[in-house]
Amino acid sequence: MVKVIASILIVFGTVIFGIKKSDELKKRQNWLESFKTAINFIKDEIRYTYIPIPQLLTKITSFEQFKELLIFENCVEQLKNEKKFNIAWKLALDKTVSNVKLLNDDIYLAIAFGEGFGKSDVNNQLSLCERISNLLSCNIENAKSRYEKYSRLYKMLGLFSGIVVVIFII
Amino acid sequence: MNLNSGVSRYNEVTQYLSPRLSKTLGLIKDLYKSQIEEIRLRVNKNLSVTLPTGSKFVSLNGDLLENEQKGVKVSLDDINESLGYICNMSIYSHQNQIKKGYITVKGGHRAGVCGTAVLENEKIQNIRDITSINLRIAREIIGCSEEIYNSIFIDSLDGCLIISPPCGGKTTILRDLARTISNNGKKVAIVDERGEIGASYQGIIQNDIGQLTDLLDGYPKNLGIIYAIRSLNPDVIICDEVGDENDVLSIAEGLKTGVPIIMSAHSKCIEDLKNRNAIMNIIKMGAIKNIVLLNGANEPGKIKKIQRVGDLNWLK
Repeated sequence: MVKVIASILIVFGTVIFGIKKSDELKKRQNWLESFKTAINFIKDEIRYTYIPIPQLLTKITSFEQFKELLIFENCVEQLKNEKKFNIAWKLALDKTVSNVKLLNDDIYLAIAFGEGFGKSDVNNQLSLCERISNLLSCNIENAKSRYEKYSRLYKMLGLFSGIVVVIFII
Repeated sequence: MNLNSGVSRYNEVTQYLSPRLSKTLGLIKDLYKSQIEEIRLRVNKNLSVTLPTGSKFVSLNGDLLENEQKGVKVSLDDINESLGYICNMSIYSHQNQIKKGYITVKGGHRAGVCGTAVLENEKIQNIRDITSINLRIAREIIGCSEEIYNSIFIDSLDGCLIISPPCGGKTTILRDLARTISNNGKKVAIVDERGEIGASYQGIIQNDIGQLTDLLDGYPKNLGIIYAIRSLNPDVIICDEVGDENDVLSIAEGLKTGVPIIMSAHSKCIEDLKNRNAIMNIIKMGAIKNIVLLNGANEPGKIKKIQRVGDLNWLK
């Protein structure tokens, strides 16, 4: 009886692990999609209101759809102690990466945005947003294909590795 | 203005500078802090401040020096970093102001900037490679316009021109006049093109401009005057630094509707106005009944002379 319960627990645990790995892929895709929407929102705000960064960040964090991004909320927090936006943004990104598994490509893009944001006139800022948005589209495609490719694989791997462990134990 | 208020206004301004400069300026004695009118940053030159008695250099331990030998040198990084803070890390949201050569910061303080002009069709499109920043500390002196109010406006509101050389306290007088007139039951509309009179920040007006005052913040004067007449039904309009031909047309519009305008202009004496075509046009159309000449930078906000336009011989 104990063996049966232990086997079920092991399989259950490895399946959960597989599902979690698969969810990480989905989470990355969702994060990139939301970040792209936020960049487009920023672009519109710059074009029509010229709103300065601190107010813009506060506005973004008030929208439910951008809450899961965390980076903007983290950045608002960091700006309370750090006057330079690019440094505050990097610190916020470090904090965000511990919650969402982003690839290096995604992190470089986010850093590039922080480095250029606020440092030039409207036209240059719009170009920056446009460029980041286009590059994000490529990353989103990559995230989608990774999810489609590996999501089932992780789940199946979780299941089968559990079964293999159980067979060995028995 | 008391010492504490002067020091706190000074401290408001120094927070916009790079930490190195801000720290040095923080070491200056409070007595001087309350008198400092400008903080000047020039690339590879020494940090200096302007007092009513003249310019002084600042040493590393906050002493004010006559000569620059022991002064703190301002680097290009200091300028760029300070510009970032002045623009609230958002150059794009201040680009129109940068084009005009100044940026107004929280508190109504003004940062004049100069560098290399980027021209397009003979118009300045941008200023790049900023080499100098001049931070002018805005002062709010409650009650400084009392003499003008009692002499000119106590019985009726008429058009008035306040003149002085730069740093003579014109904006301070206009701000206090708005407050006084408004608190005496008249509706005032301020067209605050440079954001120095009301010092609106994120929709909150930070200076006391009175209970019955509407603030048109950032509106160009010529448009703001028309907007105010159309939509706010003011008893008087106040605007800073007129002198453009476009302003003349709007003021004429105001004159037609019977709304008096109180305005200011740079000029060191009344006779000099003869050389200012736009202002002469405003005077000739009857929009100005009195001209107030201020003492100048040595005694900011103090009145030297109040002149009735009708008594000017050279106008007859």
